[in-house]
Amino acid sequence: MASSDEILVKLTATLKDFTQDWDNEFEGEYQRDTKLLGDLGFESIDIIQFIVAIEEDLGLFKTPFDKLLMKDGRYVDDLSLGQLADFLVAYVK
Amino acid sequence: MPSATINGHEIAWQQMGEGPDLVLVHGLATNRAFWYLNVASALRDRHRITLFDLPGHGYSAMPASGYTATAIGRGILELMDQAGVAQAALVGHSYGGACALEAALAAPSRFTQLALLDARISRLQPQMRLHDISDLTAFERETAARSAAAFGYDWESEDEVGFRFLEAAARLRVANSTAEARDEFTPFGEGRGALRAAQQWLRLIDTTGALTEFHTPGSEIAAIAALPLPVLLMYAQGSRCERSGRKLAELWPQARYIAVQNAGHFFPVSQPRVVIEALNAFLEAPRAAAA
Amino acid sequence: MNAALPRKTKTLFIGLDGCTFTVLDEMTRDLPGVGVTMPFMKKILENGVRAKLRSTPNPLTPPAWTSLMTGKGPGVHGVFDFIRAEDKGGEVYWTLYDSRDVDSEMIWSMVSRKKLSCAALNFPLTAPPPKNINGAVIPGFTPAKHLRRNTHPRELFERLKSEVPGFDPKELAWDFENEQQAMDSLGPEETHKWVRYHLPREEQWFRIAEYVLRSDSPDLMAVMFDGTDKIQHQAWPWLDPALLKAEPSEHDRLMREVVLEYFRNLDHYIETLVTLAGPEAQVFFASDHGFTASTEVLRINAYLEDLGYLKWAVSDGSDMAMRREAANFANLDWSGTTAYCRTPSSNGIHIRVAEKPGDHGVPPEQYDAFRDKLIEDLKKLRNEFGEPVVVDVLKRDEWFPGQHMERACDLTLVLRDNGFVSIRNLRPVVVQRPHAAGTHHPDGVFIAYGKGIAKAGEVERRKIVDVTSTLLYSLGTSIPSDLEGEVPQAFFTPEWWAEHPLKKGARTRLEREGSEREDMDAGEKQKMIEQLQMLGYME
Repeated sequence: MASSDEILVKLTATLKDFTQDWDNEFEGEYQRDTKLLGDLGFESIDIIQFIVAIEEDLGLFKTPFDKLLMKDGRYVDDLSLGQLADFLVAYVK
Repeated sequence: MPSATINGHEIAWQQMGEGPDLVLVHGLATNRAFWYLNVASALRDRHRITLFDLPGHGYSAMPASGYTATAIGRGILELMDQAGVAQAALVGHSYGGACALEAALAAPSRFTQLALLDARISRLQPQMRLHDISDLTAFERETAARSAAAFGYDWESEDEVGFRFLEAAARLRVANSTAEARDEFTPFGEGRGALRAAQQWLRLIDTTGALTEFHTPGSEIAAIAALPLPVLLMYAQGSRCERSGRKLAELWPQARYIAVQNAGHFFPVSQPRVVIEALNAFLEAPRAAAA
Repeated sequence: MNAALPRKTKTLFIGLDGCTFTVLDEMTRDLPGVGVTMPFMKKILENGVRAKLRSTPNPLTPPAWTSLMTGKGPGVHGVFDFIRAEDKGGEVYWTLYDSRDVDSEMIWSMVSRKKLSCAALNFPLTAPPPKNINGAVIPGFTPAKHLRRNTHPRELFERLKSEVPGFDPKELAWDFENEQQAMDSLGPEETHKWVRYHLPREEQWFRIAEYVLRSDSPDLMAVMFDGTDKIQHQAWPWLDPALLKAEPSEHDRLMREVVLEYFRNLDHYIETLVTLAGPEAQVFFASDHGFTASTEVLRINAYLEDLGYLKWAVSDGSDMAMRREAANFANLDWSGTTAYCRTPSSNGIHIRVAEKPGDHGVPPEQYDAFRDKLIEDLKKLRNEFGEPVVVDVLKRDEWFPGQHMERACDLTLVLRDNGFVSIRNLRPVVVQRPHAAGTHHPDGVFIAYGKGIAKAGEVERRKIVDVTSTLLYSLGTSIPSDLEGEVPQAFFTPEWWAEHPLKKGARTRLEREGSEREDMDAGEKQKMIEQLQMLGYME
């Protein structure tokens, strides 16, 4: 079992590679409260791609991301790296 | 690869994965690789899986006797002892299912659940005749015709067509006269291993008492009905074994029954996704809810 | 790859998304005032062989290309649409299908296992690229931002950047927003711009294909051009000879010019690639489906609402709600819905079955009766001319047999004009289009040319699953026994067929990343391999 902070480190690495050649204006450090849409300029299609990238890098498949992305039958408006890391604790070995 | 000595004969087995124990039992004329590629690979993330070769199959020894479902069922319990499996969920396909049932009946406390996949149970289905089902597969039609011509098999009066098809397919493979037609899974069908598999099967039925012992019925119906375990029954719709499935469903009204559509007897290979999903759901359901 | 040995591509496969003989025949004829738009394709058709190619039951890019790449039907490979939805009782979770959803081995992997090399450029459902591929994969339908991460091997992307003049991922890649317009009605100027936009895109893929073919010469070189489909969607009236106006307007003239320019370019790309592959290579072309004219619109969910099967979600007026309503999947009140269409591209209806008592949906024991009634209701629908709108309704257990049947729509619709349904909440339920629009036809193209290929003209129609088997045969490798397709003997000269007997081989094998785990030592692995051989999984 990896801790949320350990996963956060891995997520950050994936994210750096993932956004390597984006025209991205984000200059800060990736933090627990960095938001994908709000801070990093993700669009919804990028979230889907990012989930694939995370699964590839962490060796996961068919992780039930719906539990994170949907609340009360609606998609959440944004997602922070911390939320992602906390969610993944249950799935990363 | 570890091996265990069961009834004085070697049984080849292996384990993979982590989690609650799961024992998978393959059917006749295959080997533990039957499970390995798809089902075991998918379930190993959540279970410790024990696979083994039936006696006379794969890398297990081929003794002169010890092939009844009852004997192999006892062997499963002994293998669990030697492999350090105290309690497990048990899954059997085809004849492996008949053996699994006997193991579960002999020691129900050793098991959490039982899943039978297209398992023919001799006690409930004493004969298997050509026209028990309406349609033969393309491979069966051709195999029947070729073997009738080559070896004089009389398919109409045969009352054990399941075993006989395996035998005919194996003899045709050895004679290099295998049917052109292919089913979704064809025993002794493809590749350089097919001849070896066919030869092994013929050695088993020609040189041991296996064929007679395969017919030997196991536990009485009343004992089967009293099995105190949650059960999953998966049968291919229209399969020759379906009759056993129906009768088991009558004996166990609480059992979950899944009729696998558009599939043949070897659906764990041809439709692994269906089996994986059904087993995942069944194995995760709390025992109380399933029972 | 061994640089010391000169490699030669054995088989060149050019995918043409949505290509149809209706258009190809027109482009290879000498038209007054136009000439022959595709002279090289004319030569191919005259010296090779052609057949119609029957697509998957719902002739759509993702299931059809996946069938073409796996040799199996959607019920087996599991890909049915662009969008994958999971009905979770009270709610439906939407995501996109990706390569990991393809539950059958693709030809790229089959070829790699035979120690042959391949390149797969611009094919859908190849992202993220499988890791066991001996060669190059640059997936199609992937946004520019994500192309580098999804290119296999990774260094290829850097090579393209430095070695392919003018390489520009932005020009090359799939723009989700832009592509959405394929299904929308555009004004005259937008239509022209839309078609123009695909010209440089196709040029990008061509340059990459040319580069890979020249520098790597993979045994199987495969590239897909998808501008054909995109352009036909929006510019069908300027392509279908039956719809060309006798007295074209200025806009008609502009449109005709740009579509001809596209096909002229395409012909040049094909000529260059075929010439590069050389006279020893066999060349195959196939499309995932054909094309035809759609004349009316069926608003299927509106019709289902009229019949009491469906309830729309009530909008709260928020930005999010507005976005949801504009999106190309249904925004519904799940508690009031028993049957609905998820996406226009699915052209089908899902029936919501109650998993347990108390759930919303049809009780399982009433499913058959419910479905029969629904089919009857669908077939009853008439347009304003009294013609039936839904000409056939396909049950999934009959048309999508296999381990993924349950992912298919319960019912797939075949419309009078082969059109796709609309899922908008608009009335009337059936409306005639102001202009004919391009839509998918079940019959696409299958063409072969080159050494050993018969000069046979048109032969009997083939099935889309035949393409995998045919390409493997052309490569000289055995054909896995569990492929559904067959090799068309009529495509090859009798001499070639006699010298190259068809070999059946071991079953396909899907290896996922991570399935190779280190819990067996070398001896155990060898034993497992032998046991897999005995079951016909390996040769």
